[in-house]
Amino acid sequence: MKIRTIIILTFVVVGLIGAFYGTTHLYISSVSAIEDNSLGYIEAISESRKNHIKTYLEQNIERLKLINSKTWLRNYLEMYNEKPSEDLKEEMAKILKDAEESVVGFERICIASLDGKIIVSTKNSFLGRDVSGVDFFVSGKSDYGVYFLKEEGVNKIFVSGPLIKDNKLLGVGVAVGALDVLEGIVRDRVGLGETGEFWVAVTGEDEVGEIDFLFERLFEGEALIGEENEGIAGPMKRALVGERGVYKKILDYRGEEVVAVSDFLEIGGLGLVTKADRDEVLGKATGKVFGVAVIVVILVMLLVLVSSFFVSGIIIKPFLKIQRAIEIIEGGDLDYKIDIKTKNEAGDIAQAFNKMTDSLKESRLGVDKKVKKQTREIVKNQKSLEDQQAAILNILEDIAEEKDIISSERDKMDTILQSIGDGVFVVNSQYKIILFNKVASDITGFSIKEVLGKNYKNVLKFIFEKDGSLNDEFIVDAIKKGETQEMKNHTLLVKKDGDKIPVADSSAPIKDKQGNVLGCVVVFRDVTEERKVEKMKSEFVSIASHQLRTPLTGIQWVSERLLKIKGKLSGKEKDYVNDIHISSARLARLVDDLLNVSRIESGKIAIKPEKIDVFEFVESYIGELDPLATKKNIKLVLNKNGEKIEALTDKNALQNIVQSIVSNAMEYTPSGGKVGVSLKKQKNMFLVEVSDTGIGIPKKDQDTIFQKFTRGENAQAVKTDGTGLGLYITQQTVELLGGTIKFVSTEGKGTTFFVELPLKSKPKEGDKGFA
Amino acid sequence: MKKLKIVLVEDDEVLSKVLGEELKESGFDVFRAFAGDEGLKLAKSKKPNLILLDLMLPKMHGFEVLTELKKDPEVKDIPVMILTMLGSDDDIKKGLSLGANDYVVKSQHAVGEIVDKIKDFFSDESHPAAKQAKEETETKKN
Repeated sequence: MKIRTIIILTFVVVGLIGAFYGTTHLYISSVSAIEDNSLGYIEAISESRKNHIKTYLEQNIERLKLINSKTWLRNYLEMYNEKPSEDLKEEMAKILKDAEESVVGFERICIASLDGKIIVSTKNSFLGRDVSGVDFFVSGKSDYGVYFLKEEGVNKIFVSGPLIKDNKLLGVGVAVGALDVLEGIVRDRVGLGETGEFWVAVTGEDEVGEIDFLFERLFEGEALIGEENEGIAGPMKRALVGERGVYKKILDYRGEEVVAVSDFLEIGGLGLVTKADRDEVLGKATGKVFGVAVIVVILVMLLVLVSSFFVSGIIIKPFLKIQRAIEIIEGGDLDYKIDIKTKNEAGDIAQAFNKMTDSLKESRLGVDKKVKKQTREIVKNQKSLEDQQAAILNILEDIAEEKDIISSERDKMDTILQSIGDGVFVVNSQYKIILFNKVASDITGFSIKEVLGKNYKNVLKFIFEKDGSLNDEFIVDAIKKGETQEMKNHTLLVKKDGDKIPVADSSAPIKDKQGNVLGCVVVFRDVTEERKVEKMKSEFVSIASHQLRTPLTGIQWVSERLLKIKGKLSGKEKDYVNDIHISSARLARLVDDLLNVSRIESGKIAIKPEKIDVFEFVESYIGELDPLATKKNIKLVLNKNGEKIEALTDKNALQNIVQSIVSNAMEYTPSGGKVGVSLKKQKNMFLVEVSDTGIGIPKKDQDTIFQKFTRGENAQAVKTDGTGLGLYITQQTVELLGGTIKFVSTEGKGTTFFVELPLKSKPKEGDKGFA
Repeated sequence: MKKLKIVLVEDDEVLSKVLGEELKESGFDVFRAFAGDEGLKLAKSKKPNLILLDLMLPKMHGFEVLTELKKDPEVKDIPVMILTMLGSDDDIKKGLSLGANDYVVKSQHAVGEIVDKIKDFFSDESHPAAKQAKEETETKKN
């Protein structure tokens, strides 16, 4: 609810309450005042009527007094009392009649004797009556008084008083009148309005507490008489006992609310009650008052409303100002200040509000600044974003171009792949097959669809021939190590139908520009035929060499025996046998060389490194050559520099190498020459140096000296039966051990061979050793 | 004097003849066989002090013979020396693993060297059986 409404309502409610309370109070007190006023009025009326009646009654008493004071009357009465006579009665009666005619108001005048009998009367009906017990006689003996008594059911006024002569009571004079004058007084409407009534009553003669109303009621209605009721009887009762009373509100015989005043008139013992309807008496006035009250209430309410509007307006005003201010500030105008200068709460609020606005403005400025700054940044970023966007678009274009290129390259590649005679498949770094060519499919029995996207391990099984265990390290290693791997010998591939076929070749890693391995490409071919051929070749070589060697050995041994047999051979025969021996030895060497060459070339030579004391090894070999050195008159020296060289190398290979070079040195160094062998240990290698003072290797032959079937031209002259395989085999052997072989040579002066071999040679699989 | 008995199983006639004669001249009793099965029979019947066993044999390969020899409790303890032509490691390894005591590469040695080797064999401490055999004969000699 709005404050204004609350204020107004409060005002109104309070006003209403106040007004009502006030007016009610006012009304009540007004009514009360009016009541009192009207009562006063009634009282006045009562008083005036009472006086009127009193005056009338006193008048009547005066009249009787006048009559009673008549001398002749008293004289006659005195005479009568001394001696009653009728004549006296008549005289008295005449006086009374005269009096009656001259005095208005009495309808009968009587004289009662001292014994209470009516002796004289203006009306004969009353004569002789005994009134000795009656009030007016009893009291009349002493005092004048007025009495109201019923005569034949009709109330009459009786005035009585003593007739006294010379202080002697003679009798009682009694005048009787009708109540019409009294009635006139009573019925006088003056001042009584419409409902006013004037009651006159005396105490009843017959019963105690009975009230005898002298005149008829004015209005219709049952009299409410009863001890309990406050009917008009009440006031009258009190009046008759002499109480004056004021009754603001009692019920009359009609049941109407009346205002009454009760009074007592001693003369005649009259109870007087003046009453008028409340409505009439108060009515108009109260009506007026009510009207006034209503008007007052209305006026008050109006006033309240107006003032409430006004006050609420005043109170509301600052709020409205603030509200307006908020609207304006919300609208954006932070400079707006609320204009409330009053030094009250509104003023305080306005001040505080203005301060708040200021700080709001400041912070807004601060925020504005920040926002501006951020906006600048954003604009900057946007700009750079746009630039980047442009760059990206460029890149995208490039990419699109590249894609096209790639696409066409890929197509090319596909074509190539499909036409390659070997099986090719590519796995990615997750080992999933992403490429699989037709030949691969033919070999393996899997369709391209079957394998694409699958981990190769689930599809292609490469196993060792020997034990069937998995042999696919060449793929894993290619990816892990990033190096080309050869498929190990005796690798089998399990086809889709379960058949196992020998395969060979290699896997190569696929790398991106940064060198990250993306996958690997495996090339393989069914080498069943190759293997067969190899096997055949190998078997052939084996068998051939075996077959060749057997007879050769035979020749050697026989010739050896022949030579041993003492004395059985002549010199020439001996020579021939020697020649046979030598020739067969040469042939044997040739067969060995050929066998070695064959083995080397087939890659079947095994390297089995074992711990060798190189020095000892070389030393013992050279020791064996001593006889020959002596024979040829060559100085064969092994340089001892004392260093122990322990190498992990293949004995046979090492033997081959040393043998080959040293024997060459021996062979091609003429008599008187020198062959020196030295061994040096280097970081990971050891060096075997063999130098001679032989024929040397001609420059033009130096480039080809390691090749098969090549010999130095000058060597041919020295040794005609060289095979030209020696150095070739030596070089191959050196390389198999992982070493290098070099030489320096000057024709005619000598040669030095340098063989560097690793201290630790890698083992190599193979099924043959050197022959 | 009781001579040491040697059974020589070698299919090449020339080699067999020459080696056999050299051995005989060195004081051994030599019994020759030219095929695997023959060799086996001969070994079993002669119960020599040494068996020289060529590998490339007709009818039964040397390894087979060796295996059979080692099965027979009567002959399984007789030392066996394998004679190979080419010194193939595999052959040597296999032979040794089948129970041969030593090996000789025929093509690499003069026949005299081979005979020396055999002689040494019988003196060698590491071949107690051979040594014992030698001692036996020597005692018998004495």
